[in-house]
Amino acid sequence: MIAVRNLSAGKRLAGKMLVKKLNMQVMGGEMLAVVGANGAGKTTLLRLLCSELEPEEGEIMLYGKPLGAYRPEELSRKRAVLSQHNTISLSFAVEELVLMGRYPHFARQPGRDDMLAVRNAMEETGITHLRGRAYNTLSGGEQQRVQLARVLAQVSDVRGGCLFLDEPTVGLDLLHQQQTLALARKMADRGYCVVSILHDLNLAGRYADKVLVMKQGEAIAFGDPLDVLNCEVIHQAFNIQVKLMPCEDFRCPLVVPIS
Amino acid sequence: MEISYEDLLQIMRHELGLAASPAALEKGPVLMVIRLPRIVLGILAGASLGLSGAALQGLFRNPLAEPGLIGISSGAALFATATIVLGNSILSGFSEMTGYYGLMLAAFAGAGLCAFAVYRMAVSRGRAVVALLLLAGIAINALSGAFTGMLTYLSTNEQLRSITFWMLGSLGGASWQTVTALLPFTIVPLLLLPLLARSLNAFSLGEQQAFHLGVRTGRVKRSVLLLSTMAVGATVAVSGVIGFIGLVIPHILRMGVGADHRLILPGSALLGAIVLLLSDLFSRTIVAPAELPIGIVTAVVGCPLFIYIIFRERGKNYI
Repeated sequence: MIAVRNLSAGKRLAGKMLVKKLNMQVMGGEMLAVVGANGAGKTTLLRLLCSELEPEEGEIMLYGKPLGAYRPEELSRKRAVLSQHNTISLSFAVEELVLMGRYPHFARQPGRDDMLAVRNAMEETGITHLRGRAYNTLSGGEQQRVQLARVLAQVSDVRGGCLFLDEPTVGLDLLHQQQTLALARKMADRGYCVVSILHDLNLAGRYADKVLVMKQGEAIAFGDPLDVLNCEVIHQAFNIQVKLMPCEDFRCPLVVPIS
Repeated sequence: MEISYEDLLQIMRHELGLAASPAALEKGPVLMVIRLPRIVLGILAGASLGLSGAALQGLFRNPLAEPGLIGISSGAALFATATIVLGNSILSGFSEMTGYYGLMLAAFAGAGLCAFAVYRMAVSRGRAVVALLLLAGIAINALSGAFTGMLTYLSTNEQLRSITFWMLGSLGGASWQTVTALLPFTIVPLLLLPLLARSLNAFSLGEQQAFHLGVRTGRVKRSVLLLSTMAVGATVAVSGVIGFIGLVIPHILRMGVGADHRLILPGSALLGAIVLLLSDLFSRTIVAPAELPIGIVTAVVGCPLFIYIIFRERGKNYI
């Protein structure tokens, strides 16, 4: 579980706070979608949550312990991160690359459970047929799914681990967008704490338990998507007029831009 | 002098005290004092260059990285040139004090200093930024190149010849003393760098991604830079600048065994040693009794190979 209290950061990096006095909490078994316009501080927040940046004010607690108190190795066995940009410099085979997700768990040679985690992750992301291919010969969407498989393999046998996803659906086709988020949802249902940056409000409403709306580094709304994703909040965050259209198959109404 | 396999066996028996033989008495010293240290030097130098090249390419996430990039070679060249040109004037004190080893000591110091300068320039908020390392390396290389050029301009004909030969590299200076001096500086990196293989694999995903996988990125960067500088600095100091081994060897290996550093790092050391030994064999026999500088051999063989790799990989969008 993750608890963020009064979190601010960015002054050292950018000269002004990119995340300002932010409060939020995600429990195990929950999926949080972070939404907001470009430059709202979503990625900075995610980088803070995965300990890439240090908080300048406030604190982040992971399982009741300050994030800064974890050693990198310890952290790598608890949480996995899917970054937005994944270019690799050398051409690894797909299976080798997914196996890198298991590096935190084995010292020299991968054990049977490591290979099992790799196999499961490749199946869940639908890349088993690509296992022997060189990563650099894959399409952008396929590469994205390989990275997702690596990230899943990293925490697949960690009870109540955390999963941080930075725009996991970018570059994916319609089917794989749905599959990726269904997978994230499934991980949450299995007890993981999932935090994902999303641009598509409809995807956020459909898959997330909680939505955090950010604007200029501040949280302007946080809570159940049904309460949070309304016309005023969306207008405030994105500066666009939208219409909410109820849809009988979904809990949340669809968000449709009208101007 | 030709030493046949039979002679070799006799010399070995002689050296082990098993049997005395006249041939061994005559040819033994040639093997033991001249050729054997040269072979050991070739192995250490080739392994150091190959391994450091592979590790630096992994660290910089750049297939064009090589030991020379972070200022090691140009720093060594500058200080070596200074010793050659100014050894009789400004630096005569240093030359007298260090004698035969002066050039080596100076080259090693130059390699270390320039690599350190590059590293310091690339540190921002306590973290070494890899892109800055590349840029700082280019800047330092250009600057030391300029000073080296200036010293070359001031040099006499004889000094110019020494400089040129040093820049082209040679294992001709091999003796047990140089091997013993080189050994500690190369053996430590040769043993420790392969231990970083998994971290370097993770680095190829990106520095952030490596951190997410629990890699202590700062420590890995410092280790690779320090160990490579140690190995290559010492090698350059003893044998001059030998190009292309560090750049090409890892590429050749990757074509065969893939990108996994667990194979690439030890493999580059092994292949580097083999290739440098073969080049040395070639360089000292092709125009015998004279010797062709070994840097010429490695470049003449290395460049076409490298061009071939570029052509081969051109379609695959990752060079």
